[in-house]
Amino acid sequence: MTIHGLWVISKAGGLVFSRSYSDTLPPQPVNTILTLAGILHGIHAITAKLTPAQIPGVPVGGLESFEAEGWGGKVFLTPTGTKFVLLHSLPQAGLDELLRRVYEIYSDAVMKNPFHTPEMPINSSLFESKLQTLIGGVNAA
Amino acid sequence: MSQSVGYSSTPPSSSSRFSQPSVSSLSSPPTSLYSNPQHPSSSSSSSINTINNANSNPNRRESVRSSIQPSSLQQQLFGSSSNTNISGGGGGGSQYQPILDRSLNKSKGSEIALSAWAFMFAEIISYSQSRVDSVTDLEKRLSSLGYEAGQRILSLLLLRNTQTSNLKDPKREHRLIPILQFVHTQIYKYVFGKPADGLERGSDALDEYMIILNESPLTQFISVPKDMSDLSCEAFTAGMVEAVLDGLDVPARVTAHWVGDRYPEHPQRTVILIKLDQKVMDREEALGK
Amino acid sequence: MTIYSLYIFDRHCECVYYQDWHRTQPIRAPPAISNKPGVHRIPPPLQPNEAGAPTRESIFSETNRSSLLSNGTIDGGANRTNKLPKGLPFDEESKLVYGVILSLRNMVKKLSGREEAFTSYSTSSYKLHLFETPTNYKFVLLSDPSSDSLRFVLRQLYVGPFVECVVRNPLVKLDSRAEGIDNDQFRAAVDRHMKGLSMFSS
Repeated sequence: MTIHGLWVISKAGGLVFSRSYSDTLPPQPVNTILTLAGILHGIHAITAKLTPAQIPGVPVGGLESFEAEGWGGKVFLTPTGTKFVLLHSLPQAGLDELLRRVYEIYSDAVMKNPFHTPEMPINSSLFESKLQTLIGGVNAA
Repeated sequence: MSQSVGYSSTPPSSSSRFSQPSVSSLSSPPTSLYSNPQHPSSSSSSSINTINNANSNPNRRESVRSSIQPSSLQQQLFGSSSNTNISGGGGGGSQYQPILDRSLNKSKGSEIALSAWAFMFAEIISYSQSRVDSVTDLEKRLSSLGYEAGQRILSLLLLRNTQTSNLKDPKREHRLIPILQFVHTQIYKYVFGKPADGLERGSDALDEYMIILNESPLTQFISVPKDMSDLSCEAFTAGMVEAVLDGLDVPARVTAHWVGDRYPEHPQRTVILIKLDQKVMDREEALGK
Repeated sequence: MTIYSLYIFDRHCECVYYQDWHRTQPIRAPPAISNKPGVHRIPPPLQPNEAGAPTRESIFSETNRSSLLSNGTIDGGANRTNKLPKGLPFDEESKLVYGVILSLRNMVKKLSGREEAFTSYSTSSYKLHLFETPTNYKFVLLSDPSSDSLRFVLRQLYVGPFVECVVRNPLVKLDSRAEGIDNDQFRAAVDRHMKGLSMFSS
């Protein structure tokens, strides 16, 4: 599995972090990603509304993953409303574990950083280097 | 203050800060609240997993939140006779005791979660940051906070050392090198759970010593923005070291410097620079070898 | 493993066909004004005892004509307030479905920088499969979230019942924008095909 990119979307739908980790997908200008992240945020809300039948015991939620022909995206929603979007190659295995690790790095390097303002773009070299180590390791494997 | 700085890498085995067993994660020092797998994997059997998890494994965040009642922290710190059911926060499973009544000698079980400390320190820094104009002022502020902590840590450690070794006349270092070693080993071990990674003498000046820490638990989550690259939040540690040296009558000017850019394998490496007072150098010379 | 519903959209972004199976979240008929005949067989809000399951025995024109007749300007508003209708009206829901697949399709296209089809998405409760024909018909299938790709089923529907009962049926007005493609043969064929699938049984 290759990780193509990671976005972090704040609970208001703003893109606060995006990074590309492979050159399979063409690089995009930040403004494009910003727009797409906003769209994804909206889609997430609508998809929950379209639920045709509730599975007992499973809370109704929005978009969790989407697939194209050669790659896919996985959306992870934290209890506080922050979304992590991972773009990855197919087939994917161990994505949930990876997203949990990303969440852990986020809570350590971003939320415990006094110089970070919640809901604002993430500007932390520690966050980036830890992600690079994690995702670089996944991509190299 | 000294209690909160204390940090050990080994979780207290059986101590539970609150009565519910599920909260034991609070008293162990995980780097993150979410280190354990909570969410089911989305493989083919995900729906079954979800149901099981939801029933057998209540959401940890939920349980943590529900057990921190508004009064429980107060009770911990200041004591309250009304509720004796809450098991001891300090000793492993002992009866509840207000923090001031606890034995000073007992170090086991008095550690606090690293996450809790990290969040508090982050708040301290952003609070201080909103009340200063410059990086130098911010470091000064952090340093003075560290100084407060250092004074108490020194007293506590000296007391504990005296009582545990059960000496008739307690030993107190008076020569420079043993004092620095005491800081490097004992103080750091108490505060950070491990001794410092190095103690060096400055190459050009005789009155300069350096204590080196490759990765400080104190500031390991902090990433300083580029426009403040001079800032080292280890100023807190510097203040603490200064207080300890002061307390041992070795006045010195202590500052913290980030040198991670020169050590790619330790991007957070920090040097605590100790510039000794001339008085100390004179005394050392007088005492001779 | 189960299948919830099927939508077919034409190249004018209009929903031209709808059918559902194990759906439990309610859906209600659209208000008469925006109702398009020949798309779905959701009973009009007039008969409360029939609400829920789509009627299968009636001919589509009859159902829809009766809804048009009885659900006129006077009844429509009164019914809605009295009966506490549940769920989204059909026309709104189909627009949402189309909006979501269109946005995701454009996003996928933009991100991959070339013509790459978006194939499916899933939530904790369902999975949506999309199959596009060269003539820009979009077949959308909602199934339970654990199912594998069902695009082959949509393709079978296209190659089989759709071509047989819709394209080759001179009575169906393809591309009309005014009405759907519903007819008894097609509906029965789709139903048969779906019920014959191994993943259909709930």
